[in-house]
Amino acid sequence: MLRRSIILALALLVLVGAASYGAEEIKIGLITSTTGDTATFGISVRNAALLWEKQVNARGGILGRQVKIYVEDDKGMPSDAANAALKLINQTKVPVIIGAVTSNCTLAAAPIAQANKVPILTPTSTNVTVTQIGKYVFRSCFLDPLQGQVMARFAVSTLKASTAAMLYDVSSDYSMGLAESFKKQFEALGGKVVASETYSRGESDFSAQLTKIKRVDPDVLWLPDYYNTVGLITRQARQLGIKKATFIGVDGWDSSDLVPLAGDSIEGGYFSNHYSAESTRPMAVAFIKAYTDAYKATPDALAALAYDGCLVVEDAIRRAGKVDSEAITSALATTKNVEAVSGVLTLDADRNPIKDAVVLQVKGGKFVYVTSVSP
Amino acid sequence: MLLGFDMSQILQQLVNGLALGSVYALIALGYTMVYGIVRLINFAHGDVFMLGAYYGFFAITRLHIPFILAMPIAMGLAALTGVIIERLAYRPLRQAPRIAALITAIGVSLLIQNLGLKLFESRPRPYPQIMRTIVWDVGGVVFSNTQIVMLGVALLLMVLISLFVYKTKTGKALRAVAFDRDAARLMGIDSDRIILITFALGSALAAAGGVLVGFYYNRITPTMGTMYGLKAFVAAVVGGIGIVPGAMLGGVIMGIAEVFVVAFVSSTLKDAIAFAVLIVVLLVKPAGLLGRAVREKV
Amino acid sequence: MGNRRRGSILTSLAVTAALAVGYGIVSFMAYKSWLSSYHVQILIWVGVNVIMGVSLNLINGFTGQFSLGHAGFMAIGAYTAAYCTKILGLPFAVALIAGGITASAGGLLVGVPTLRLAGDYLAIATLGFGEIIRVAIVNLSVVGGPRGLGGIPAHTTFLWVYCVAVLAVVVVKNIIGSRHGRAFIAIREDETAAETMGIDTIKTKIAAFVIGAFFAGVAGGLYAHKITYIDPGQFDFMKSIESLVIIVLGGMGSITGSVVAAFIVTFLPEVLRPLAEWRMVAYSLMLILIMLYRPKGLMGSAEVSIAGIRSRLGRAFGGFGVGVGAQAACTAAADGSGCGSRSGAGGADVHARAAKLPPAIETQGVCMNFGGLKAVCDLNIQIAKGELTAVIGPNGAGKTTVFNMFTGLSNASVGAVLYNGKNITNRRPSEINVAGIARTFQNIRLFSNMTVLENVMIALNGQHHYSMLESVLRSGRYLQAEEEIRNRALALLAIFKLDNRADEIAGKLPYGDQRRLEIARALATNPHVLLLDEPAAGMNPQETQELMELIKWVHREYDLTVLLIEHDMKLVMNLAQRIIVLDHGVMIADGTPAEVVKNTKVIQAYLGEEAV
Repeated sequence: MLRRSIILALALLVLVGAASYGAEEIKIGLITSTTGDTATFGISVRNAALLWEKQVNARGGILGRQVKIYVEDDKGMPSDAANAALKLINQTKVPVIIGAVTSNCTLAAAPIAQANKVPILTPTSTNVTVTQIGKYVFRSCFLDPLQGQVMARFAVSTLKASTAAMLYDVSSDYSMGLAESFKKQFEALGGKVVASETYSRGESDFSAQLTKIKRVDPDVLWLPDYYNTVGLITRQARQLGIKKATFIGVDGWDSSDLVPLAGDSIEGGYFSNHYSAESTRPMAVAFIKAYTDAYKATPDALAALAYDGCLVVEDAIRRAGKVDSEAITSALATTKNVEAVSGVLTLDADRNPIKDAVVLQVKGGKFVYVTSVSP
Repeated sequence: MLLGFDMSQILQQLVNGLALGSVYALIALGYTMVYGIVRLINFAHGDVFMLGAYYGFFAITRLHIPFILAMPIAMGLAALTGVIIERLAYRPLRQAPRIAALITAIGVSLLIQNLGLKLFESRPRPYPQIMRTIVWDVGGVVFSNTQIVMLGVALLLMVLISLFVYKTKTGKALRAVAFDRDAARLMGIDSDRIILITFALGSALAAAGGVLVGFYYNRITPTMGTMYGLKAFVAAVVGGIGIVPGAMLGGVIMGIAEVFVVAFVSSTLKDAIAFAVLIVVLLVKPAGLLGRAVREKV
Repeated sequence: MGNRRRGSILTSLAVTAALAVGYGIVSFMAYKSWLSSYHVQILIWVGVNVIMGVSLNLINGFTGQFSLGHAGFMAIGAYTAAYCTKILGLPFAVALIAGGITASAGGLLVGVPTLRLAGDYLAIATLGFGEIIRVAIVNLSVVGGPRGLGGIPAHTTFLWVYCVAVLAVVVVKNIIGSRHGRAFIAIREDETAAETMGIDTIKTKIAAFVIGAFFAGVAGGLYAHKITYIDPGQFDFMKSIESLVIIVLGGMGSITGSVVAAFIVTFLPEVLRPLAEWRMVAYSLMLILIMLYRPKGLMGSAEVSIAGIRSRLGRAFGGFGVGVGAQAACTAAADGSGCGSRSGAGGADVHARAAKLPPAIETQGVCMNFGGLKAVCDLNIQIAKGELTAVIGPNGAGKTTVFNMFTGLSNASVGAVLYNGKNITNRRPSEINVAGIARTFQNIRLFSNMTVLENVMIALNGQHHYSMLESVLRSGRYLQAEEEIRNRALALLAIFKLDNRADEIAGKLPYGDQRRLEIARALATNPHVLLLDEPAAGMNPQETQELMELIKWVHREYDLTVLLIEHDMKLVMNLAQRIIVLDHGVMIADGTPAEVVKNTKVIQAYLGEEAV
């Protein structure tokens, strides 16, 4: 009697398992920082990814299967990112990972994905070395050098600047990389970087650095950082009487919070971005609307980038035709002309994207399209 | 233009340093008072500062209370928070090894910060503008009305707290408990009450600092407490921990030292300078600038 | 003694076997895929945290030096090791050792200038050093500055971490169980008393920092070769806090506790992952609750050890035979040679000798000022060898200050203190103790959380030498010396009738016993001069009587020069051959008891002007 019921139960279990197997959801891992110092960026990324999950499932999923995103927090700490990566690979058994947000976390998580032959695509890490880790590591955003080069060229040719000052975050890979590439390009074009000042994450007083910059009175002030810091810097700069310099920056500026933080001070500043919110590209318009509806806030650059990362992965799974790490990796490597929020994405042989940049200007509190630049 | 720096440059940096230092001083006061009385490095103090900033923020944006009232409200709420923390987390450990209380303080700090991230959202909030910034330029030295307000409020609070500590009966009791808790108890002083008052006052001052930071820098985040907390704490030690005027002096020294390092040395060394100053002061005057070395009785 | 040796070998074997089994279980589970590489990775972090915790425990839990900069040492080790393998191409083991050594150098660099600081001030200074190390790395472009160092070879395996963690535990545990370890703990318990017991507290504290930093550096190397990418942000203040949490959560001064807590602190955030954004909230709440309910940590200062388990088993199964032998040996040694007694010279005529020899202690025009207050003024005293002298005087007369100057705790502002004709005015207390002056304290300063036996054993430290390495290896010399120290300590305790309380905690003894223990401890340093600061204070008449006999006996038996401060005039009159009277820092009388009681100045000082 007992034995029979056990056999029965086992048979039932096998049946149920088999039945659910066919419709099994596609698991996608997401490593992001939902706690810690960089949570503000990580939560944007998570929100965008979950938005995509909802949308893709509403469209009927991928390959007829529903998608489930497994979010793992990295606190902005590399060791946590490494744990998260391995947990996703070993415990959750995801075939593909999106993440991490900051370059230092990606640099710790990516080697694990590489070693386990699971593709990982970072939507936001700009450090050049990330994709050099191996063939399973991809990225869907700009590299450090690109925006620095774009804006240096813009400063020299359009703004006719001959002197520049830089103020950047020495504890951030992103900010440092952009400062270096800007300096190189700007000086190659005959400009002169007359002041190079730094700060560390979390600071809010830049008066000492700005007082020094005021003395050299540059044509442009290069501020390669996120909106939350830039807003404070421009405000203090204008207060201290830096009047001539035009503020120029990067995609990190793109946030609806920039203008409230910076007030009038940011007016007239230029920054490079992946796309323009004014863009009439249907993809962008739809994303901005959906995100705003879902989270009651306009998406920042990180949200858009994360969403694009999801789209690239979606495209790869569709083309792979099966949910298998090797197949997805091969498909990711041949990503071509994916319609995304920030433009049309193609990955090059080094698994980095080839995409255009746009330059926007802050005008009347809005980000106005100025020009497009191809790398 | 001697050595490439003119006088206005130095004066300007001095103004910058004073503005920064006044905030450090306000937070340092809370650290110092709490340390003086219970010998606890209250790591959660920086996070109470953050809470204060958010209390003020919500009072202004949600309840539409004018700034001049929002600040006392934030201070009151922060005082209440401080009292609750003391009652729930620190008082049960009064007799325990001091390091247990320290770890608890770290736990409370983490708790407030992570709750803040969850409840206030992680994104930075722009503080409501309550006055139009007016900038004056006097011989190349620039200062603004917001700076004057910040310095003025900070100074006023420091004067008030000094008067309280040195001129009132409760203040005297407070100093007595700080000097020798057991002896104070024998003199009929309710030391538990005094400790609560100390936490309330320290937290209120931190909240004032938080509101001022929001007002002046126009940005608050749930993680802002860590940096300010650490710097203010160092300021308290530099001035002589447990000594009210020491905290003010330490705060101003820290502010000016940071600004001057950026101005005349290198901005990459800014973070190190706070600690370098600290170590030098501790080595030269182990009890802080205004501290008096206590000889151990053998 | 052979018994003891065999016990130690048995223990080592048992430990080794248990460790091998532990590793076997993990490898077997990993082989069977019950543990995924995710679990193994977390176990590796546990191992790293065990090393961090145990090494910080040595500095903080055992030596009592509150350090908040442990992550700085870890950073130095991580960067050095990574640089060695990645850029110099050195083997992993060499890189780890190099990381440890550079971190030790860092420990030395931090230890030396901050030694004068104590408690919270030290904590703050070490915190500062930790941050400075971090900023220094940010400014070091050769290792990537703020962008970090990536592509570090992934050499760290579970086996590596496991072995190093075991090594760290064994080294720290063995050091703690040696004379070096007792010196560490003595400093934690009472630095001043430790110094007067001949412990060079400066060297000892530096040693703690250097060893602790070494293991933190190795932990950093292991960490770097697992994570394969390091940046300065990973070694910030919060990382130091994490190590501190481990040792406090586990229990300060408990190695077992550190190991247990390392598991908790590493696993908890992982276990809480399903809570998503709430996980850090839950983590901090649990931290607070644990501290509220276990303020002394999970283990207190208790340890789980093979010996402990064995003794428990032994009790259950009717004795194991170990430990009893040692007890017997001690009793036998009580009247033997190794008891520190220099009997034989005891009966010599003290006064006859005193006339020929230079004074044991001499002060030449000594003054001592505290700020504006003159505690002692223009003091000229000569104490002959073998004399038993009492120093008396009203409160505030400067008696204890005189003792402090004799023992190096205070340095005379003017004048010189000579010991056997040698100037010791500015010598360190430990040097003076080694030279032969020992003392007790007015407000008893025992190492109150240590056992009675350990208190005496600490004082014997200076007379039995073996190196730290020998204690780590449990070499023959170590075992022999420990045996001797133990026996001598027990013998001495027997003299003071404290041998039956040898394993009790010193701080919990009755008052009179504590006073006697302090004298026993002072005697254990094998002094020529013994200074007793109010030895009878708080004793009842019978205890005082016994004490008097004891002092007499000790004075004769050990051929000592004894100075005592005492308010109990009966005791003074009965005991002292000579009395020195101080008042307001000035010597007002010096002579035999009979002379002094008749001295008008003395009567005035004690009873006021009108009494005359």
